[in-house]
This record gives sequence, C-alpha cells and structure tokens, in this order.
Amino acid sequence: MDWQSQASEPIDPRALRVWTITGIVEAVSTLAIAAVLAGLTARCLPWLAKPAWIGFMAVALVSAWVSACVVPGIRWRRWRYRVAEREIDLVYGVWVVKRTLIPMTRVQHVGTRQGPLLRRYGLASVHIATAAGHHEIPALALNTAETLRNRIAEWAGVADDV
Amino acid sequence: MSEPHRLHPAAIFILGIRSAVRIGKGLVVPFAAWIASELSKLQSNSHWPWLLAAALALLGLAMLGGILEWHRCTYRVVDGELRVEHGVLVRKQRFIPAERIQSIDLEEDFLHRVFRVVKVRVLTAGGSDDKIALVAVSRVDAERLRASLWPGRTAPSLPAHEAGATAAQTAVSLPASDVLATYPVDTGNDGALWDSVQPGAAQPSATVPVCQVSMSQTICAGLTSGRVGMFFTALSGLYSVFHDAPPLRHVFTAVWSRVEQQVRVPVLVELAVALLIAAWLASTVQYTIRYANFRLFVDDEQLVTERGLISRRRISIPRERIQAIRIVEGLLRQPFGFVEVHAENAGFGERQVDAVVLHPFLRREDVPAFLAKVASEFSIEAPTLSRLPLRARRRYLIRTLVLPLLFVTASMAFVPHWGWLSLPVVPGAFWYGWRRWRYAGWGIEGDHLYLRTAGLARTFVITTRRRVQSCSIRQSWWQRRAALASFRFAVASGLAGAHFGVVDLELIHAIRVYEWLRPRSRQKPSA
Repeated sequence: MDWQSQASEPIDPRALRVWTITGIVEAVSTLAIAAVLAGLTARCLPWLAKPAWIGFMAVALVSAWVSACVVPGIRWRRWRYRVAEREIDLVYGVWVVKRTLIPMTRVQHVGTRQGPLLRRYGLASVHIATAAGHHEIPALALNTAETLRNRIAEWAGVADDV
Repeated sequence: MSEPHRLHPAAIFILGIRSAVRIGKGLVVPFAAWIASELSKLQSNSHWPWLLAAALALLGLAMLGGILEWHRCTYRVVDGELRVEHGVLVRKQRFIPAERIQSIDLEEDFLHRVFRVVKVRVLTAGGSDDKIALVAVSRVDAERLRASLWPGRTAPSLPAHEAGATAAQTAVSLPASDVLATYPVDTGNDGALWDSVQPGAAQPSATVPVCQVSMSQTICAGLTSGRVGMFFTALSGLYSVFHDAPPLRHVFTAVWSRVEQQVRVPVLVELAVALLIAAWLASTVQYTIRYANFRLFVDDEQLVTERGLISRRRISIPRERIQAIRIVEGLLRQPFGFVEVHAENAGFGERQVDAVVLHPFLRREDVPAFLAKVASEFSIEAPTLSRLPLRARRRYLIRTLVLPLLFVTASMAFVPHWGWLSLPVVPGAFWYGWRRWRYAGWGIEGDHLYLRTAGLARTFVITTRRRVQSCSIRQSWWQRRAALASFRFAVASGLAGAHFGVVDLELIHAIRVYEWLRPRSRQKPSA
C-alpha cells in the first residue's frame, strides 16, 4: 500500500555528494578501528592473528562500502518533503521508512543551518522545532531553504531564527 | 507583591545549615579514617578543643553566608512576571513571565516544619535550567505569591460563610499533624488575610480534596508498587559507600569472605529470596514515606496534589498544561484492579517519575469518573480498543525470544552442571512477548486518541488531537512484507517531549490514525 507518495519534494541532488563525503569519513574511521582491534588481537593471541585480520577487515570493508556507497543513495532517493499551509509531511529513513506529520500550528521555531560541508556546496538544512522535540529537512539549496523557512514561519505565525 | 520581598528569616538557618553540612561532608569524608582515630584517643588527646573550635567557626561562617544570601535574595511580581534577584558574589536576576510557568511546587522538609515555612519551586518549560527555588517562604506568602502569579480564578464559587463552614469541617476531620494545611484548612484563620490580598478573588473554590488516599491504601499501594528496583539502586549506592570508607571496608570484606566460604546453591537461593523480601519491604516503606497522605484538590484552573510523610510536597499544575493522561497498571496491581494515574505535563524535565502522579492507587472502574472530575479534557466514556492483528504475534514472540534463546544456548554450552537452570527463561520470555502483543492496542473516539502498551505493566495513554505535537508512521522491510507498521506520537513534556507508540499495527490502521491527526478545515467534523 502506498503511503509515502504524498510528500513529493526531493532533497537537493548535491546532498548525495555531501552524504558520500561523510560516508567516506565514517568508512575510514570504521576501517581504522577494525585495524586497531585486529592488531590488538594479533598481539595478544598470536595464533588468532590471521583469522582476526581477515574477519575484522572483511566486516569493516563491507560496512565501509555500505556507509559510503549504499546508504547515501538510498537516503537521498527516500527523502521527500511537503510543506502545506496546515502541515509539514516528511518521508525519510534508510532501513526503516518513516513518515512524520507536524501540524503547522505546533511549530515553535524554524531556522536554517549550515555546517562547513553544507556551505561548501551551497546547501542548508531547515530546522523545525515543536514543543516535543525537533525535526530537520537536510540539505536544500540555500535559497530554497530560506524561502521554505520564511514560508513556514509565516504559516506557523512564528519568528524565524536564522 | 510588586515591592521586593525577602525570604522568611528561617532561610538564614536553612541555607546556613545546608552549606555547613555540605562543607562538613566535603571535609569529613576524605579524612574519615583520621577523624575516627582522633576520636578514639579523645581522652588522651589535647586537640579536641581545637577541633570543636574549628567546627564552630565553620558553622559561624556558614551562618554568615546564610545571612548574606538571605539579605541579597528578593522576589516580587511585576507586570505578571516573577522577578528574583539573588547571589552574593555574582548577582543574578531571573525574570519569568507568569504564563511560562508550568507548575508551582511547595515543599516542606524537616527544618521547614520547625520554622513553619515552605520551599517554593517554580518550574518552566525549559527544564532544569529555568528552575527557580525560593528556599524558605512563609506559608501565607507562598499562597499569596501563587495567587498573584495565577490570579485566573474569578469569583469564589462558594459564598464566604459557606466556605468558612466547609473549611471548619475539613479542619475538624483532618488530623492535627497535617502540614501544609493552608490550602484547605487555614482559610478559617487566614480568611481575612485572603480578602485583604485580593478582594474576593483568591479564595480557592475547591477547599475539600477531590480524593484522599488513606494510610492503609498507601501501604497497599506500596506493597504492589513494584519499585523493588529502586531499593536495589539504593543498595548499590550503599555498597559503594561501604567499599570506599576504609574502616568499614574491613567489616565488609570479613562478612563477604564468610559468605564466600559457604557458597553453595541452596545458600545463594536463600540469600537471594531473603534479599528480595527485604527489598520489597524496604521499597514499601520508602513508597509509603513518599506518598503518604496523598490528597488532590481541583479548581477551575489548576490541580493541586499533596503528599509525603516526612517532607510534604505540594504541586500545583494548571489544567491547561496537561498534555496527556497515562494510566499505569503495575504487574502486582493487575489482579486487584488498581491503577496509578499520571499527568504528562509540559515542562517537567527530569522529575517525571513522581512529579505528576494524579492518583497513586485508584480502582480501575473508578477511572472514568475520576477523569471526568479531574481532567475532563481526557475523559472518555468506554474506550474501544482495537487489538493488533494475529500476524503481529509471531513478530512479537520472535523479538522477545531471540536474546533469551542465545543466552540459554550459551549457558547450556559453557556452564557444565547448572546450565539447564537457565531454561525457565524461555517460557518467561514467551509469556512476556505474548503479553506485549495481547495487550497492545489503539483507538480513536471523538477528539481522543488512545494507545495501550504492555510490558510487565500495562500503560494506557489518552491524549486529544490538539495536544499532539507530531506523529509518525514507521515501517521496516519485514513489516512491509506483512503490511504492518509502527505508529508514534509526541506530546510536549520536558525538553524532548514524551513519545508514545504501538509497534506492528495494521498499516491501514496506522494510516487512518495519521490521517485523523491531519489538521483539517475549520468546519466541525461529524462526531
């Protein structure tokens, strides 16, 4: 049953590149941790050295490939949002698909954020806070994000904080 | 209240003693062994006058600090805003608009009782950061402060003489030891004062508690509270104290080595049973002390709960701030049909566990009447609960059985003689998973949304459409194959909100709830 298609707007394609970069960083750190673990095992239990290296590195390589190559693509394809006058609808998630509804009247603040990596690609994320936690639309083109922020602020009747 | 008020002078002693104890603790604990050895050769030692002098000097300094703090701390209400100025070295000013205040708590410890004062705590939505505590305020001032912050009540619902009569009756029927009695009882004495403060406005319309829990009921509630775990955390704290304090360590290790010598399974079982019973009784005592003399008052604007044996605590919550009602049936209470009613309140941060108990021990069949009286926004006649589909059951069972099966396999494989002892874990887990599936459910009625989830305890949550801050459907790959989904919603509570959800309901049902929560156009939906 189709329950995700009502949210229609995709995220900016450049998000894919940003997420790939963060994925690679993640992958490198996974590999480093695996190498340290394997090295320790080899030091302490020399007879296990070979299987330890092979096992740890195999697991680390697979997870590195997943986080750098697979996840960003799925995440980007899945992410959809729709901002209407009364509600915000978000669809996202890699392994578990989530769809979130935020009634416009519940929005307390809305703002845009830009980390160094997002700035490098001219992107920004929109941050939406309610009285029960916050939500984020990641990686929109800067002017799209700003327009969206202003529109949400107007519809929700709140001040936007930049 | 527009001119600055000082705290009650008792604050000097309370602050002084508190900081003396704190400093004393900081000095004594690290040097415990040394002090103990000094004390043991007290007669032959000429140091003790110095020690005494040092202690007195410390107390004097602490009192001086108390005086300074008391002198600096003032509070007042200006333009519907509470303004508190305090601090000796760093002066601080806190301004809190009355409409941002989520609750006003009055608390009484032993020292407060001696001086007949209360501690006033003002909580706002920001959580722990925005907390203001006035250490000692006379009871009359505390009520006056509350009345000037929340003057919302219109005319008193009872004529003056009738109110007086009711108050007098209550005064007779309540035990003399009842503290914090200003709200219902002292109106007889302070009636004139109330009138002079705010003519005809501040008289609480409800001077008789809506419900009151007797001592025997409180003890029953304690016996079935299932908070044995609390006792064990206290015990582990005690253990670390014993373990760290050098003179006690010897005692501890001596006892432990005795125990170790006799480690045989029967002894261990006996020990465990004894410990469990002790924990159960201790948690009952703890619970009773905390919840004794529970009373609940209701007026048009707010709910006031009051509880505690040694330190009394009164919490006022504006009714408008209640976001959801949670009805919890503990495992031990289910056979007897008693529940605990909580209010999910926007603004309580870390103290959620016990801050907003509306009734500690209510008969299940009395819940609808209770809600109609106390939180009418959340009262429903007869909730019809849709249970989860049969095909969800397998998923619930698999989820709860995976870990126990691994555990049992491992212990059978690695523990030579006693491994089979872990076998009962499997039917236990099976029963638990079945329960979780059996009692989970959801429902919509009018403007109400309710969910039931179960672990060992069964929890029933009721909220209304306008209280839901956000909601979501989630579906994993396996859920998609079975056309199931999970549903979650959030209401304001603390900083991150409170989330409630059901796992593995029919996808179409999840979508139905989601669509139902969608804001719709102004016209009234057909009921």
